[in-house]
Amino acid sequence: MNSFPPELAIPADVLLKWQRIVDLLANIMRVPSAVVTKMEPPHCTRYEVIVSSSSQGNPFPIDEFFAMDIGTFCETVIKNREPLLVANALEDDQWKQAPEIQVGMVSYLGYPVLWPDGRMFGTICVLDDKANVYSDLYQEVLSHCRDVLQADLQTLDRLGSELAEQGARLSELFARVPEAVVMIDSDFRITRINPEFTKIFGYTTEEAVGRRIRDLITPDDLQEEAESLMYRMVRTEDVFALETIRSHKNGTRVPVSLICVPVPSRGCGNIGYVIYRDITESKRLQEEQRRYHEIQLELAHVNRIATLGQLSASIAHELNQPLTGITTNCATCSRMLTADPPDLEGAREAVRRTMRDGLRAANVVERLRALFNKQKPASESVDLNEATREVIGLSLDEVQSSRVTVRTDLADDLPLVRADRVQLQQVVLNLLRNALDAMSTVDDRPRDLLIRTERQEGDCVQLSVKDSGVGFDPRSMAKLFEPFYSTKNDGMGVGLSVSRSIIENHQGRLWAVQNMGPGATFLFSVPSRTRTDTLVSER
Amino acid sequence: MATPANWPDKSETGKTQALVAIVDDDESVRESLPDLLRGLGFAAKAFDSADAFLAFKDISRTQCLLLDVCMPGMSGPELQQKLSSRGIPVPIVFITARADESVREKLMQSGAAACLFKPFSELQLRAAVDAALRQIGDSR
Repeated sequence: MNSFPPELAIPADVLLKWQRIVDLLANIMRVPSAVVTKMEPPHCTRYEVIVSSSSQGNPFPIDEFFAMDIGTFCETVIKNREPLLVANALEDDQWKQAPEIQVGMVSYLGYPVLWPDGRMFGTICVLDDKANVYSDLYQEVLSHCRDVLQADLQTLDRLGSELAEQGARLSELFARVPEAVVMIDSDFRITRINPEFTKIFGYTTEEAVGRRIRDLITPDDLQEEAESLMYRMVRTEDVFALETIRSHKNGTRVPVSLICVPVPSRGCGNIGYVIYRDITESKRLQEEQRRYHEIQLELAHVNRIATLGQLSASIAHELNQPLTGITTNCATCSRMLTADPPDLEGAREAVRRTMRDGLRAANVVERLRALFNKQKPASESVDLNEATREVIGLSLDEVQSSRVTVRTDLADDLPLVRADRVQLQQVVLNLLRNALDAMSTVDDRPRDLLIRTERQEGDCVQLSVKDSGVGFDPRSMAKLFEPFYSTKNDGMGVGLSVSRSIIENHQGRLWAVQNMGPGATFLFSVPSRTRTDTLVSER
Repeated sequence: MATPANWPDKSETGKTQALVAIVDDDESVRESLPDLLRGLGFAAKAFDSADAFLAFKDISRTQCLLLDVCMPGMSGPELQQKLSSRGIPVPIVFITARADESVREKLMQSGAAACLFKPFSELQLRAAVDAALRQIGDSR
């Protein structure tokens, strides 16, 4: 017995056509019954009447089943795979016991119907309630009808294998695509999943199919979001994507990027696909990058402090030598001038040495200045708002432990700046830390810090840091920005002078104003990227 | 200015003037200090390194050593050690450009007579040399 590949049901339109044929047959041949039978796979223990003429006196209704071991005419045709003509069963010893006689049918003409590959399909036959020799012509007619049926079967067969192949290809795609794919129906239940889905979410096909997708993988706090996604799929034809979080079977939250693909329903019940990608890795990388940048920023700051620490120590050392010379020589000179008599030659020599030491000191300062300007700044398009947010994020610990409230007012339309990002962040960090210091002794009013960015006329970008601290004496404003000036006990005081030189290197300016109320505001403005680029191209 | 009674008189010959030695690698310091010290009534001689001083033939006549702390080669404290191990009891006044209180404390604890931060005034110099000469006086 052949093994039967999966068979399609005969489509309705084909059955309709076959119905017309049997009706015509019954009419033309003037017999009460013309039917087409189909063997029932896979075991073929019975056959079914799939079309039956609507002629009067037809005892065989559609969908009636007959067993294959009761000795019917069709049974013989099927088993022998040969046409059968029984002119009068009543007078035929072989057919006297035929079950058809009991329903009034005494004669039979039937042909086997085969699939293109020779598999048995069933029969097409006519029956009469009286003896009938079924002329050659009628036999030919019925034979042709059988041919029509077989042609139809051939088409169906080919369609079937094409569909099977497409189905196989689709299944292969489904199975191998490296994203989780889920098919859902109009009830938002899962109809199909692929292996990647199991990999990402932990549910097998058995566990997933039939379940509402929301119940399965959507965390409780995201139910509403998931619901709106589903409804959007139904109401629009949009393919849309978003990043969100779903749950693994074991409860872990999985960050995913998902795409909803609605497909127009063709009566198969599915409303579309949802494709998921696990973005844990890419999120982790993003976080690493952010952390790396944070560390870079912190390192740059620490490095600058350390370098300055070393620098200031070596500066002190180097400057103190000529300074010693100067004070000593001046003391000598003074002594020599007040001696009795005055030693003018000695005094002159002392003065000469003093001048030389003064020059030495000037050289040291010059070298210091050269060191600060040594590094050529990097240059990129910088979003000052973004850079500022990072600096604030970096300083959160300090801010919180200083019991300071930080507010930001960052302009939406802030143009980009062509700058060394880390250097600008150094300046913002310096201003922020100075503000914290200025407020560290304030106890009778709130410690408020406001950082604001805005677009300025002339295509400039301005950032201001306003504190509610101790403020400064306006007469000593210029001194604030000098190197080594510090109002702090342990301050090295190079922050503002370095910050100013950074801003000036970016063709900007850095200044400070007293607030109307307590505290001070430090501001810098730098030209925007377009302005910088214009200036460069004009050179 | 009062002069302690047991000090040699300024007007006498150089033999009775206290000899102050200066050891410092910096030119400005070496050139300026001797004149001022002479003006204050001392004999003075400058050396540009610890080794140069150790090679000084009249090293035992030195009554006060103005010694720089940070020098290439042998440092000030190292010279102090060497002098002590050679049994040369010269009182030391350290002079240093690094104004670090903890360093001064250590230097004083090591037995120095005084410690000066550069730049220092004439008054500070005089007081330091006084303290060094008193140290000799105490140990005799």
